[in-house]
Amino acid sequence: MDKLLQVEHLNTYFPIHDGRLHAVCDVSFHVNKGELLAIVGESGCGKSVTALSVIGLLPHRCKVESEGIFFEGSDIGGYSHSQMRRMRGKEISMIFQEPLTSLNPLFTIGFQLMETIRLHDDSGREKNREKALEILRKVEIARPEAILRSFPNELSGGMRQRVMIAIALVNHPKLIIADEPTTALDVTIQAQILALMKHLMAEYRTSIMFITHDLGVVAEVADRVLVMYAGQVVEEATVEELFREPMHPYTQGLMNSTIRIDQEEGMLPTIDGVVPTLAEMPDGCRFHPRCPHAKALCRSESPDVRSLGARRRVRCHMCGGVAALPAPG
Amino acid sequence: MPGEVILEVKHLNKHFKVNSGFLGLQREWLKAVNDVSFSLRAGETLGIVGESGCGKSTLGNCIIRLLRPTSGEVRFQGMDICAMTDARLREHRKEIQMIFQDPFSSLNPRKRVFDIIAEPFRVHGTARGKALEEEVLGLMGEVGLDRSYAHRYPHEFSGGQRQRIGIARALALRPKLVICDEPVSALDVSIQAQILNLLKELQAKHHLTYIFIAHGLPSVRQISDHIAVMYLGEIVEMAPKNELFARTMHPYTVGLFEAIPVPDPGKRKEKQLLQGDIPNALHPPTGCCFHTRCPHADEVCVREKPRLTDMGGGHFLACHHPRRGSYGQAGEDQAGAGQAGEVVPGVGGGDVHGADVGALGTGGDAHGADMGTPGTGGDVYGADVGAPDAEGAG
Repeated sequence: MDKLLQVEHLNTYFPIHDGRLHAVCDVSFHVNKGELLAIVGESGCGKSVTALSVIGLLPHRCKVESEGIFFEGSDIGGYSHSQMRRMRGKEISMIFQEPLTSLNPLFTIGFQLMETIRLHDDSGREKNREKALEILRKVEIARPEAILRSFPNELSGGMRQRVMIAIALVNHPKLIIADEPTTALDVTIQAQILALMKHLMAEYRTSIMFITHDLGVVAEVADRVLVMYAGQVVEEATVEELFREPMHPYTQGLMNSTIRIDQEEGMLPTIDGVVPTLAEMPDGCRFHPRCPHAKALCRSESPDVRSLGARRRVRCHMCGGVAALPAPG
Repeated sequence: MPGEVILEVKHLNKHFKVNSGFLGLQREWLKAVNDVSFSLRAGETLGIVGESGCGKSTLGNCIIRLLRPTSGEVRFQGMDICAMTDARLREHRKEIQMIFQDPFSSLNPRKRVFDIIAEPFRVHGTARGKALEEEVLGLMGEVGLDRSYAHRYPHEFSGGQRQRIGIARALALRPKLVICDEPVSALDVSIQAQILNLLKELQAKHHLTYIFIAHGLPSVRQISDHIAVMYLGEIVEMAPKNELFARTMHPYTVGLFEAIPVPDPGKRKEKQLLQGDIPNALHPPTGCCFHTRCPHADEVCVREKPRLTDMGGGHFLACHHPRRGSYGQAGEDQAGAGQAGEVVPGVGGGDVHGADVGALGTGGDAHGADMGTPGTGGDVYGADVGAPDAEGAG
């Protein structure tokens, strides 16, 4: 399969008075054409910062270093601001978590939607309007003419997110980065939006980088999954492999502690402890203070990412290396 | 073991006045909670599920009287909380406490953990000095916080630890009833399970009664004995947990189950998704409030409001055309449910009043038999339900 996006050894950090806070640490991954890659992890694991580093939307004081962010073969990591502006909304677009804060409350939906068209692919007022109406119909919005004239506050959360998807899709981008697009929505609306995204993805042959904390959502939509913990990729696998046999102890813990609707009652399995903060990263493996299998080696030495098979990578001393882990419970 | 009835809510309404229209001159009423009734026994947990804007938090606030209900009764241990004077209410609040959703905004950032947990004791004057210190440190231990954290400020803690502080504060006066308003929604996945486990442990230890408000069915299932499903301010279905999961009847509840993402890529399938959005609560639909999104709605649903009716086994339902089927096999049971649904309007159409409830009993197929079990006496609803049932049958 062709790689659409390839990120090599991405490091993103915030300089502070006495050093650096590493939000993203040595992250490498790729997104194939027509694929939905899910990045899953808890708050503070660096999944959003990874996405913002790729699309170049971080504030200036953040430093993004990498050995290349290749989009269709060209290294966009070295692009200037104006070059990136031409990419964003055209080749790569983004859907944010909270549609109310990412839409401008002072302008109509029509204005904001047509702005995106005008900036990248202007073909006159009438044509632009037609394009806007067409994309609104595609995202299954009833009465698109009325919606063009309304303001964001007049729409429900689900409708706003449909508008965001319309804005992201209108210029037929090759890659959409969706940062928790359904987290703020109700569960019945979430299901609608997920179904819509999958459907449009096939129709427009777009790739999606889907950021979420919800393993249920991952299982519903993803082709491949990247699990992140404390700024690092800890596991990468196809969605089937990951759910059939999670290898990293963190992935296993996350799966066990996800409350399933069909789960029997009783005490729920948990991961002890809390996610370490950026300033207090433990030595060695970053997961070792919470890991049930941690050995002396884990406390002293940081594990490298190891390839296990063609499409699987794990960052753990105990996986496929020194000692095999017991089968996941 | 469930004890006697500790809380009884009868026909509770909470309506908010909303100014709308030109210059806000038009007065409208938003019915946030609309004729809600239920009762709860000591030591049990009632889970209240629903999407945003369904009135579940307003209901919780009315029970503890952070909001004064528009009408109706909230009887806690036989006393009507709605009618209490402020002084009496203050005494009573010792026994009802609340855990809030957002552990970031519900803790005073300028107080140390010790003072946050000590505040209930100081307000009610139940402990001071050495005894107070003992109590607070004991509570911290109980909720799994290290005693050495007592002099830290809330911002030094993670979300899960803050929620533990909120729980310690709620338990300080040894309440009988605790209202948990989305206590785990704002937390990370691995932390949610920790907090749910803690709530369960504390319930067993102190024989607490919980009202657990949440929008996620999976977490509600873990902790509840009974589950009430709310939509647009009304309870549309309420049943003992296992009953609700084994025999989901309301199309909205079926839709909620269907919409839950299943963490198993092998079980991906085309889902029967609910269409459309939640209607504006200011202008709720006529008849059944769910008819605009319901795949089985017909004229009866547009015209007449279904009443909350006992379907047997403590299963209450407000629907003209009940579905049948457990959550796991909702898809397979749809066919059978469809049949049952079709029988009803035929009968209901001919007969105008009372038919809405009575018709359920006449859906003369295998399903109809146990569905139609009339509301038996001996519970709160018996009186309400018995009459129309008898009418319809006659």
